[in-house]
Amino acid sequence: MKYSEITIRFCGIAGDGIVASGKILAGACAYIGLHVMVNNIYSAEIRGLGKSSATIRFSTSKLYSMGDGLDLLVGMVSKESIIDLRNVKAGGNVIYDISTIGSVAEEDSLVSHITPEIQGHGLPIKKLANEATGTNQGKNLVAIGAICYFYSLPPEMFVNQINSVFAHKGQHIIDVNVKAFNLGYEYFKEHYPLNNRFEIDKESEPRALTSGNDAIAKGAIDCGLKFFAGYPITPATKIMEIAAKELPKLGGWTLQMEDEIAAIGAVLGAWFAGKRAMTATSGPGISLMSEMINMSVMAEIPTVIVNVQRGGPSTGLPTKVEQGDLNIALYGGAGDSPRVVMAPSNSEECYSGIQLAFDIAEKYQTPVIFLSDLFLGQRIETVTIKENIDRDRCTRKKPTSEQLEDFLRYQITDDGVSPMVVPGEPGAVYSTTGLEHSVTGNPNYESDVHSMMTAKRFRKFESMMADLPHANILGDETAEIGIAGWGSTIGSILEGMEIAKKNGVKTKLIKSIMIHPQREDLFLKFFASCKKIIVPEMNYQGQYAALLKSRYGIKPIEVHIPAVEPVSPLKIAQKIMEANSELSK
Amino acid sequence: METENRKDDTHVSTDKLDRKWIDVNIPCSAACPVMTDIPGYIQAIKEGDYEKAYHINRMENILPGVLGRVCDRPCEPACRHGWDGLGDPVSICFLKRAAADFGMKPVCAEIKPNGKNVCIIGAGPAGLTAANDLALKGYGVTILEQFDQPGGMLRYGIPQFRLPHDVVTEDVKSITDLGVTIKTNVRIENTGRIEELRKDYDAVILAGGCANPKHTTLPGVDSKGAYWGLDFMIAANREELDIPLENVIVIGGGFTAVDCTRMSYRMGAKKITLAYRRMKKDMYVGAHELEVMESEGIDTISLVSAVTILSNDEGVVTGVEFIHNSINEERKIAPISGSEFVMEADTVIFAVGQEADDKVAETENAVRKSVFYVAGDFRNGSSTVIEAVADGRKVAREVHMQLSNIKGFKETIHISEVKDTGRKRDYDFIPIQHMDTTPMRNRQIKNMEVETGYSKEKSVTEAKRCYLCHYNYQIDISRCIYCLACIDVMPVDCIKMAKDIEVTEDGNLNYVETKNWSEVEAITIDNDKCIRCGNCVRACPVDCISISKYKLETEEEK
Amino acid sequence: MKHVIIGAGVAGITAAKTIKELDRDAKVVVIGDELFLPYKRYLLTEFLCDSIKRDELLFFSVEKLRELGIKLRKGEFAKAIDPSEKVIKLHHNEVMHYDKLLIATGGRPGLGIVLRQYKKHIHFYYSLYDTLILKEKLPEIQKCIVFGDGVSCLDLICMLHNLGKQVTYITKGERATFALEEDDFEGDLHEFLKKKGIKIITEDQIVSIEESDHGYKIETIQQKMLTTDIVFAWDNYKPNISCIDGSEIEKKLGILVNTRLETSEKDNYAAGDCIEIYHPCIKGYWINFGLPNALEQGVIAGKNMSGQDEEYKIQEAIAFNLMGKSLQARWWK
Repeated sequence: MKYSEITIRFCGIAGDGIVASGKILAGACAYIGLHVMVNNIYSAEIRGLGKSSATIRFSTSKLYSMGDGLDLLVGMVSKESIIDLRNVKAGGNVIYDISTIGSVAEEDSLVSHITPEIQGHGLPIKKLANEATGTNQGKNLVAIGAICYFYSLPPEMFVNQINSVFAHKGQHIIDVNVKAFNLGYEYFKEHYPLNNRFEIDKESEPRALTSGNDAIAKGAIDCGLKFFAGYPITPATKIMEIAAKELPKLGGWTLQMEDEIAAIGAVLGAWFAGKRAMTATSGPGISLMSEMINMSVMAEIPTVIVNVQRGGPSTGLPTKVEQGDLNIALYGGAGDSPRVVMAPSNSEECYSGIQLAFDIAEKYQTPVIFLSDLFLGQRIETVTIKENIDRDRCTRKKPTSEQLEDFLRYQITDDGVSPMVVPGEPGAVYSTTGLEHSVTGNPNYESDVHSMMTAKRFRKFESMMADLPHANILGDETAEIGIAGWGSTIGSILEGMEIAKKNGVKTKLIKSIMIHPQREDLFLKFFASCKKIIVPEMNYQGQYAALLKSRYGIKPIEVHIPAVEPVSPLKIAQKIMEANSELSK
Repeated sequence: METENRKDDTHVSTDKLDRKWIDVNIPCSAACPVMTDIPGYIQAIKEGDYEKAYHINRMENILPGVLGRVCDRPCEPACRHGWDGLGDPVSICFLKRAAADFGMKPVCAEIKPNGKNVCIIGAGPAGLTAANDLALKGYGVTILEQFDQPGGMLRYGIPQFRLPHDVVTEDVKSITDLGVTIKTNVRIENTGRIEELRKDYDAVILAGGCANPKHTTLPGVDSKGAYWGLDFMIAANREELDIPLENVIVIGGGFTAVDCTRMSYRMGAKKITLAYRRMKKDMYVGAHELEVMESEGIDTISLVSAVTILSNDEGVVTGVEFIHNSINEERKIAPISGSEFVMEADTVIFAVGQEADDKVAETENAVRKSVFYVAGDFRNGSSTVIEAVADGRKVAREVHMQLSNIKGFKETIHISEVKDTGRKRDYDFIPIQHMDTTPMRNRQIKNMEVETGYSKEKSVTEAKRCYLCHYNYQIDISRCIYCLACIDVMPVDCIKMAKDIEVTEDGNLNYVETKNWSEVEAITIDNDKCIRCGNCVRACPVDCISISKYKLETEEEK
Repeated sequence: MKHVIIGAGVAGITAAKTIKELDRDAKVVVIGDELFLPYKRYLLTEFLCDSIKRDELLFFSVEKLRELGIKLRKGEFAKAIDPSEKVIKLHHNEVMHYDKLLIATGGRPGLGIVLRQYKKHIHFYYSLYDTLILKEKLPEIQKCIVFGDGVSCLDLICMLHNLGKQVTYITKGERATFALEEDDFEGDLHEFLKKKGIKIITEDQIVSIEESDHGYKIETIQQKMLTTDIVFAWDNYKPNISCIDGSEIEKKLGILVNTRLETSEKDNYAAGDCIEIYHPCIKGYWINFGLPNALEQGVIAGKNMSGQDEEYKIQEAIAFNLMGKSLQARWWK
């Protein structure tokens, strides 16, 4: 068989090195110039025998999602991997361990569930790992060695990758892992000599790998992040980890606070003091932060909050993906509490988007909620990020010397933005509070003042329009079926559109990193050109669809997928085909 | 390096459970008729101490050079390394040979003569063993041997391409060096002679072996070109046979039958067939022997019985008429009527077993009185070298008990704590080391030994493979913190969470396993499954896993 | 009733089909060690020579298996059988229970202790997998050495010759006979092959195979040194029954069965190339290699396993096609 695209899933339990498998395989594939996307799924329990899996998709062309189905399932554990068999494509393969300890009952055996359309390949994973390392460590590399031979990938790239991944653990660890890799490779060479070919373009340049969380952290640091305060929560912790490692090198700070309320409080403080600051959290954290976000609105202190969404409500599904926090982001404040909501759809947008978020927050003195999600945040993918490093960037509206003479912190302006000073600047003495205030900042509860101030705060969102990026329209301009999507669902939509195209159905997509405010003119024009509009998203309610309906008066076909796994492109394609057949009636 | 404690730290146990532990956990030794300390000598080879390895063998199985070549190796099928999923058994026999090849030295034992004299009839393995054991106890030993050279079947029954004569000579010399006298060309044929010997000696041991081939009464067995297997071998070994062989059929299923085929091959036979009445797996030889035989181009047909030896007018063999057998539910064979067929041959060799010399055997009943003993194959019928050695030892002990008035022998278990066994986990993955053999083109040189022995390097490599099952790994429950780090690294299903450990009546330990965390009373190592890799010891964060070495000793009980 | 069949060749699959046809409710699991759906082994040569396509090899499709309700497990094999507990242990330590078992594991070319150490240099010509590998290598091959015996060896020589390869055949015998009755062949097989340009070395065997720059160097017992691009060799072709090692099931070369194809253990049956049966007509034990036997035995084993009673009767002789001439194998006489 010849392949140009492969999806492989490793299934194991804690300790099998599943995440490292994805990392090594992805690293090697990226190095030979392939496009790669990796998604890890693991159980929420920290210690224990929970199952974890890593899915790696690599291709000679650009990838937008995890695709549909598996070409290869590596079952390091038997019983736990059975459920993943249903994802294996017809003609796909399974690698299973033939050296597990003790006997396995027929019903618990992965192998007994393999149907004839799928081919199983036995590999003494545990035994070879023991041979290489003396213990069960290295199981993942035995499997990777076998895979490398199975698809005729260049083994030397993998050895390089092992060298770099394990560099910090010393030469011995590198040696035994290389040995484990070689044993797996040789075993398959001997037992399954008739391998498959993965077509590689030898001219390709190595590609960079990143995750959404990495990109957010890096984007923020590159545009002048000086202070990060947070409280760890899956799946956002990685952002804090990077900040903790990188910020001190640049003279910045990372603080782990006692909870999310304290974290956002500290971030507001930093912004108040004129420094670019950020926090990152997930659903339960954003709920706790609600009141402080209101404070940011009222006191017009800029702030950036990253929300890497996970399954909810409450602690919900800590390690599963969902796009359920759009409503709290948009409407989670008491009172008339406008905020900017952004949602990147891939790692490139995480990088550029977070920089935009900082610029908007600082320029318009408003909270910006940046809605990533677990899948986007944790998946590792090959990207071409256009670096934009300017750590002294400042978009704050500073007062003129004239204004400073009689400084009005909440001066009424045409664009709604008032000048802002850093405490300690001469003449710039003002008070700030969560109470409604007059132009000076002193509390004032007069009806007129409140109306005026509320209008001012909302006016900022209109003046912001000029700075916003355009919405992108992708696909076939002439198509009658239009799709509107947001966040990481976009990847699956794009691939679903490809499938539909192959089946002769034209579609187009409107996507915008800006959820609120949005370039309404472009959206209205787009919807007007569509006979059918489909809005797929990973939640039960159809939160984005509800926004679009109220905002544009459309009646879309809503596709609600309360997901625990990334959305299947095939599912999107099915909806398109359904819409198409309705259209042709 | 083994860091063994000083001797006075050794704990001596006579506990039934400790004795049982050895039987269950050192399967090679338990399978050996003389309980050779196999892990002991393999560990010595691993450390390069061939003299120690030789010494252990020399004291326990007397004939290391001989047994290192022709032992039927009951130990190897028992070896833990050969258990399901663990690979191939250790080549114990080849290692024994390496000990003899590189570590042979005279036994230096202080022998205090006790003034008593024993006569042994027969210088085969049983007689030699009895002589060795008694000489070491101070007895004056004289062996009477009917042939002109000692060794019995070792010299005359086994072909030189398997066991060269000088190996036998050296192993015998090691025994005569203890002061044993061997008188050759002395044949004891009647009761009268034995009565006379009884007067001259304090005890007489009859270890005459089974040197007479069993005869069958098939029509045509006396044709020219028909031989009895053992006679054929003895004659060939004594260079007394010089006949042209072309097309040979050997009938039988034991070592002698196989030796006859291979000897025929070396004597120039073109086509050789081994015919056996039962199935291949029922043959008394190891699979290895059969394979070597087949590689020399010798065919086997099974489930056939000879009916008639066919001959021409001059009484010269022309072939054999066989009949096919079937095998019934009780595993008995029955001829299938009408299934007769003929195979051509110019030579037929019957190797259907051997028995004790009846003339001498008759004397046994006549003189069965005190101070007269029978040992080895003469007593038990034809068996293996190692069984003959075991029987020789048993009889020597009976003689010693009787003549020196001791109560008996008791077994003790010496248990010593060690910190490290010296084994590395890598050793478990060393592939089995194959024995080098004489190239096929030289196989027809009659007395050239086929197996050429391990090099020192190969022997050390093979020795590293041994799990050293004489080490007992135990978790000290009082110090265990139930972290399961050992279970994470275990290579086989050897560490268990138990809610109870029952001791059955016959001394077996029965681990009542549980997966329910609240019931766990102990984390425990199942030594029967343990491959002594040491992973658990290395992983244990609180150092609560102890290793102790078990060694079986036999002492006189006065 | 759960029927487990070890072996997905013609005999095993036919038995599975028979059982299902007689008893719709029976659970039937077939375990095959090859990676492919059941195929027709006897067509491999035609496939290799491109006279037929890969699809035409197929014996049973996935759809057909599903329609019959047969569960096929490919690429697996049984390590051990315990007839007393009625369980088999598969290669990956799975333990499977059965009510009735059929062993139909077929035969395989095997190597003795001399050739075994050169296994990685030796190419077999037996399974579809071997054939696919050979098919990839063929264009680079010119010189071939064949060592072995039997009709399959002759088949291989003819195929290589027809593909224009240079063939050297080494045999232990005095002449190249391939265990065939020469009487059945009009003329002399040995001479016939020589005339066709096949080099034959008699009364010799391979003792060593070394890798050389472009292929292999081999040495024979008569100390001949030969070079070749590929070595095909086997010392024997024997039943592939290591799974019964350690069990009570009786075997000679193959598993011993009665005419109802029952082994020495109750509820354990065997059929196809892996069995050995006493046959009064040929006056001897008999391993009945060949397709028609496998087909018929599959049916009979299936019937007996489903509670019917049918005895196996000997097959007629079968003819092979050799470069346009037909000949008969000794086994069928």
